[in-house]
Formats: sequence, structure tokens, C-alpha cells
Amino acid sequence: MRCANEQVVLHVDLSYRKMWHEIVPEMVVRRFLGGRGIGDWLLWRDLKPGVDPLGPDNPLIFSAGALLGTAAPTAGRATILCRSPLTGFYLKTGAGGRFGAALRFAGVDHIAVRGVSEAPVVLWIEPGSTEIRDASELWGAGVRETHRRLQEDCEDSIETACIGPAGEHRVRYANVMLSVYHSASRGGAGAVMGSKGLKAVVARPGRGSIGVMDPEGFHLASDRARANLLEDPMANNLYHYGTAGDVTVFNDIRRLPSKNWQVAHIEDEEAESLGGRSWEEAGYLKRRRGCSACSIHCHRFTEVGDGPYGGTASGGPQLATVTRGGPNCGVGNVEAVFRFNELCNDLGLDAISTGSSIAWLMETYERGLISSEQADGIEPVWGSEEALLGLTGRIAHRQGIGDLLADETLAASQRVGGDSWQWAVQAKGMSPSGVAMQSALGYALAFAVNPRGPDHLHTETIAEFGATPQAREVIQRITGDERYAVSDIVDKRGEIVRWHEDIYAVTDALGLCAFTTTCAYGIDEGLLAKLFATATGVPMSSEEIMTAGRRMMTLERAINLREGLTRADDTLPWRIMNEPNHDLTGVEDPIVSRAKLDRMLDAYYDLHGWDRERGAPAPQTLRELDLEFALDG
Amino acid sequence: MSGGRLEVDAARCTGCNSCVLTCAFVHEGTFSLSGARIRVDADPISAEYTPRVCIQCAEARCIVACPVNALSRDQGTNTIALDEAACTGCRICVGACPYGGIGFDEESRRPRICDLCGGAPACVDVCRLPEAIRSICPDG
Amino acid sequence: MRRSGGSSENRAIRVEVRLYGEAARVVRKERFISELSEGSIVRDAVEDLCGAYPAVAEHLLTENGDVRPAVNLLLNGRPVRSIAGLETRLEDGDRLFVLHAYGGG
Repeated sequence: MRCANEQVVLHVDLSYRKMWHEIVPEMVVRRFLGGRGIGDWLLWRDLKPGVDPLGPDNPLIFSAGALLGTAAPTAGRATILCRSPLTGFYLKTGAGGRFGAALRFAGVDHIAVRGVSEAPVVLWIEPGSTEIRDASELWGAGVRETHRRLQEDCEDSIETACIGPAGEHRVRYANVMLSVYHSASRGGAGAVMGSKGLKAVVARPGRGSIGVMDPEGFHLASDRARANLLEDPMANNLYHYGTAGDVTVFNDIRRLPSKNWQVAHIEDEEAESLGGRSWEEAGYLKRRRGCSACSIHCHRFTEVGDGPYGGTASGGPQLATVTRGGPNCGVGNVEAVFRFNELCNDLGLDAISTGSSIAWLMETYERGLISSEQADGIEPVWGSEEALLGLTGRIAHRQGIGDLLADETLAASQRVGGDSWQWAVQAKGMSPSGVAMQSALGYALAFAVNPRGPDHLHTETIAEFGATPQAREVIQRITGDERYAVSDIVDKRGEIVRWHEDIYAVTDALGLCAFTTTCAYGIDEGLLAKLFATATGVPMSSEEIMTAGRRMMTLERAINLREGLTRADDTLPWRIMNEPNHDLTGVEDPIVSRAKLDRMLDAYYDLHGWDRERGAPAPQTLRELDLEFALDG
Repeated sequence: MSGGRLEVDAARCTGCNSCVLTCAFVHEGTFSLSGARIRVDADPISAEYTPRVCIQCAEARCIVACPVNALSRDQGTNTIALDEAACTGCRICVGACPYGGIGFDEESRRPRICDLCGGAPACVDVCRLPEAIRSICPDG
Repeated sequence: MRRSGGSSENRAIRVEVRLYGEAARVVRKERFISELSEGSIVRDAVEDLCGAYPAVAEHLLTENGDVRPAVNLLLNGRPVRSIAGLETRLEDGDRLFVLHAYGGG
């Protein structure tokens, strides 16, 4: 039996085929909690600045959250960290499923992989043993096939974290798939895994167990969290309709960035069928699914019965997959989107970057900067399902035009030239998730300062929409006035973003799902502290645990500054900042102007105690957060 | 509560394992997949999940199958009671259950059978959503 | 004179009310056209809806006739709270969205 206060790092050097264990000191656990937090600490220590993200010196860290393996509601999230081959900056990317819990049962909390193996390998971890096994036979296999064959080698259930062909071909946004259908999606962790020759990590839970220091207290805190989530309207929405449930809403209120962000809505009928609300009645929804210890169950398993896409069956799709592969490419046929989802899952691709890169190509083609011949005979016109699906396969294997798109829109636009950079809708070299930032300024600021690139998975400021009583109460607590629960104003966005950053970081570190703290708002700071303290026996107040979140954000900033990040990198896609989108209704100023962003950035840096020039933490800030070790950067 | 039983609706199960983890915690004091009296058979590729647990069925083939009469029905709770001293750890009951509802503890070499937590099954409580496991009270 | 219901003397405006979540389940439809006289406000459209579908009233309104905190009203995409609340003036062709929750993913 292991306890949450004792965290084990398994170090693996694939070049020398050596493995050793490290126990994380309790002082570090107190300050960084677990999961992403300890991952940050390891990355700061073990990543030398400027190394090739796809070379042997980029550490690839898998971190299971501190509460994984327990039944604390939604304690199923694991985080993967490294230097991103897409942005060149800090990368953390997370996923649920059951892999993280299995890893802890197998006796390991964190894995730090370095080096490169000459032949493909699998890292096999079970209670009491770790092994590097040959995986030559698996190289080239899709994700499902990989899992199936690994499972054949073992009598009892295993969980896997593996890459598909995209990771092997070092597509700069290849993902890592956990438990077959849960994507650690963004930033190219799969390419890093592929560059190391690591096809999969297997965790066999066996008879492993996890104990908590104060069982009764922990049980009570878990019960409380579960009861709160059962009451929450947002959580309820996620259970019934999944993350893609509100496509119709976004479309109706004209907040559905489509056709490479040129318009904000699509045909009503298309939105209806694309939205998760209609899937059950249409017979697509085969099952609702939940990650380990989940009490929300937002994940889906969908199937297409017959027709041209008959036989398509996969986990998901999530909202981002639907909107980036669908409307952003002009595609309104939900069955084609299901197929796109299945391909991304099985080939190991981040659906946001994939759909966005294809949308960029479609606009480039429309504007005459690329021909059908240059696109391998494919005609990449808006709405072409053939183009969407054909290009997805080519990207994963870097075939023909796929090789251009496999480096994402910024790099592709640099190769194609002309004005094509203007419609490469990206920042830090990464495509954003499909949130209409022009009318959601908390999101806009969060996207600009997100250390890994412009998306909602580091800081999700849903409360600013004021859509539920819980959300409005959060805004009241953060800003002192619930009237700030309006998303298209600049005021108080810094405060709203910073609070969400802190709690998101803590949520990641404990391995809970962000939907509990920054969407459904069913678990607050006090409950997080209670869960952590009763699990580990490490005393923790709600202030201390939020400080731990701040510490992570600050150390991540320090890692990025070490890689050369400047204030200019804290930006938004050119199109969002310069092309007014008049398709958005009810928005007076449909761009995020430089002036608007600068006002928010200044306020945000000031709140953090970072200088306005680079966004560098002042020495005093580092000392207050016990980050003296980062003083010399 | 007396005479209660569990009812499983596999179609509603999301494979989250909350029931398994909680069952192990309540009975063994630690969280694990192996220490529970319930398990969820999973095919992660086709997303088929089937909770397996004793449903206190009327015919109780496990009682009949036991060669040393170590199993009996507790008339008060309707659960299957094990006489630990008589049990030889032969596993015949495990194979006899048509529902796959009996687990086996390799360490103590004894079957693990649902005891309905003495009347308030913890698995039912953590499965309020999606309600794949429910507690049925025959007396209404 | 009631402001809702349309009138031959006053020029009428049409507001499209779109329903989601609980409200849509109760009403069993997702669109409702509210015909109101010029100068009507958001409260009139909500009352018109509740008049046509009494069952939806308890989901939208408190006993005092205020909109429940769990209900989010958007006018053409903007929360009415950030305009003038229930007093917000309606124009012909406006779209009023009645939501319980949105976001995520």
C-alpha cells in the first residue's frame, strides 16, 4: 500500500537503457502537490534551455495527479510535460481515462523519460517491476491496434498511453492517447514520444493499492464534492449532452468560429446535427463514458450505423473536435466529423491543430496561393469531406501535402509565403481552440498568456459568462461584484484569469478534472485543500493550496523565459486582433485590439508581480513563492 | 433494510470504476481494483462495461456448489454469508456464479462476496449518476 | 393597454425567443415568436412566453416574478444583465435566448 504523500519518480534513460527511482521530498510535495506541479518541478530541474525538443535531451514526463487511484470525484487525470516541438515553449498536456490511476497502482507517480532508443520500445510498469520491452512489431500500428496487441500479452487488464503513426512521424502536434480514447492532445507530446522510439507506456494495476492518511475525512470530502457536482447545472449538461452539447447555442448566438475564423455561425440544421444534444435521438450515442472515479461522465462513445461512414466508431468526439474539424473547415455533416474524430484518435493527432491546419489550407487554396496539383490532386474547398479526411491521413504520415501541414499553420505559411501568414490563425505557433475571443475577453487574456499556447486548457474562465448561479458567485468572490460576470469587458479580466489559473493548476496537480473547478464550479479551494490534506496528511489551507497553484504558473513562466519568451509572445492570432468579425452579434468592437490586450496584460503582470517588459517575475515574487531556486533562471 | 438486493444496468455504466474503488476502500481501507467485491469488466476499445457483483439471486448456485457448505444465505440481510473457517479456498463458487458476481482474494484465498455494506451499499451511493447500480427493496 | 399580444393601433414588433435546456423540455419546442407592441421590454417577451406556456413559468420565474438566478437571458448574444436587465428595450427582429448553462469542452 502506498500513500499520497509518498511520490515516486521512475527515471528512464532510453539511450543507455537504464532505470532508477527517486522519492520526491515531502517539502516538494507540500509546495507542488503532485501531477502537473511535481512535473513542473522536474521539468525546471531536468530540462536544459534550448535543447532540441525532438532530441535525446528533452525530458518527457508523465505525471499522475496526487489523488489518482482514489475515489475522489473525477480523480482520473494525468499530465504529460516536456518542451513543445510545436511552440518551443513549456508544454503540459493532460488526459483522463484510467491510465493515470493504473500507473499509481503499479507503483509509480511520475515517469521521466530521456534519451532515444534505437529500436522501438514499450515501457512496461507493474507493481514491483519495470521493464523496457521491444516494440518493433507495433511500430506503424494505430492506437486501437497497439492497445489490443499489448493487452494480448497480459492476462489481467492493462492501461496504455501510446502514440499512433503521427507521433512516429513526428507530426508537431501528434498527441498521446491514454486508455485508447483519451487524448493528451496539444503541443506535440506524441512527437516527442515518437522521437524517443517510445511507442507506449503500459501500466498494469494488478493488486496495487493506494491509501489515504485520514480515511474518514477523505470520504466525507469526496462525498461533499460528489453531492455538489450532482447539483450543478453545468455538470448535468455535460452528463446529458457531452462537451459538444452546446454547439447549437454557440451557433444561435453567433459565437461559433467557422471557415477558418472568418464567420461565426453556420446553417441551423447543420449545427443541430453537429451538436451533442441530438446524438442520442439520432442513434449515434452508444454510451456515456467516465474517466477513473468520474462523477460527471461527459465522455461519449459514438457509432455510425450505415451509409458512407458506416462502421465508424470511437470515443468522443469532444466539442473542440466537432468545431475544428466541422464548421471551421465548412463541414456540416456530423458523420464525416465522427470519421474525422476516429481518424485523429487512431492516428494520434490533436484534432484542434489538425482541423485548423486543414482550414488554413482551404483558405490558402481559395485565395489562389496553392493549387490542387500541389495538394496531391485533392481539391481543398470549404466543406469538402474528402479533403478533410484525406488530408488528415496524409498529415499523420507526412505524405505529400501532409508534410507541409504537419508543422502547423505558422510554419506552413512561412513555406507558402505571400499573405498566407495572415490567415494562419495561431499564436506561439499553435492554433487556438474555437472560442470567440472577441467577445470573451477573459478567454482572450488567458489564451494570450497560456504558457503552452492559445487554448482553454490551462485557464478556463467560463464564469465570466455568468451562465449559472455558481459561476456568478465565483465572480462575486473574485472581483467583489457579480456584475463583472459579463465576458465582453476588459475590467477585472486579470483577476478572473489569475484566480482560474491558480485553481486550474491545483486541479491538475491533484489529478481532478477541470470541469469540477472551472466549469461546473462544484469543488472550491477549501474542498481541494481538504481532499489533499486528508489524503496526504500534509496540512493545507485553501490559501496555501491556491499559492501552490500560483507557484506552478510562476515556475512555468520562468521555464518559458529561460527558453526566450518575451511579452510579444503573449499575443493572439493576427486575424483576431486585426480583422473585425461582423458576424459576431451584439459585440460593439469585434476585434481584440492591441490596446485592449495591452491593458489586460499590464494588469495581469502587475497582479502576478511580474515586470511589464517581459513578464518576468520580480525576485521578490519568486521569494514569496519559495521559488528562490529560479532566481538565476 | 432487510431482503434487499442490487440491480445492475450495464447499459448505463460509464466504466468509471467509482464503485470498485469505493468498495475496496470501504471493505479493505485502501483504494484498489483488486480489493473490491464488485468489478467492472471492460473492453476499452468497444467501450463495453459490465459491472459484476452478487445480485443476491434467488437460486444462489454458489451455495449449492460449495463442497464444504461454507456458504449460506443470511436470512436477515439476504446476502451470501461465508463461513471463513470452513472455506477451503477452492474457488468452485467463483465459477458457479452465472453472473460473475464473486471475486477472489489471492492473499487470504477466500471468495469476496457483496455484503450490501450492511444495508447501505457504498457502490450505489457513488453511482447516483449514472445509476448503473441500484438498490432494490422488495418490500417497497 | 397590454403591451404584449400585438395591436392594430400600435406597430407590432416580432421577437424570436429561443429556448434551451429545461425551458425547451417543458415547452417541447425550441422557438417561440413573441409579437409585441413597439416599446416593449425583455420582461414583456418573457411574460408573453409564460402566458402561452404556463408550465414554463415556474422554471423561469421566482414567486415574485423575477427571473431565476439559474436562467441566463441573452439578447442577440449579450447577457441582458449587462444591458438593462428585464427593462431592456426590444427591437423588431431581436433574438432572445433563454439558457440554463453553456460553455465547456
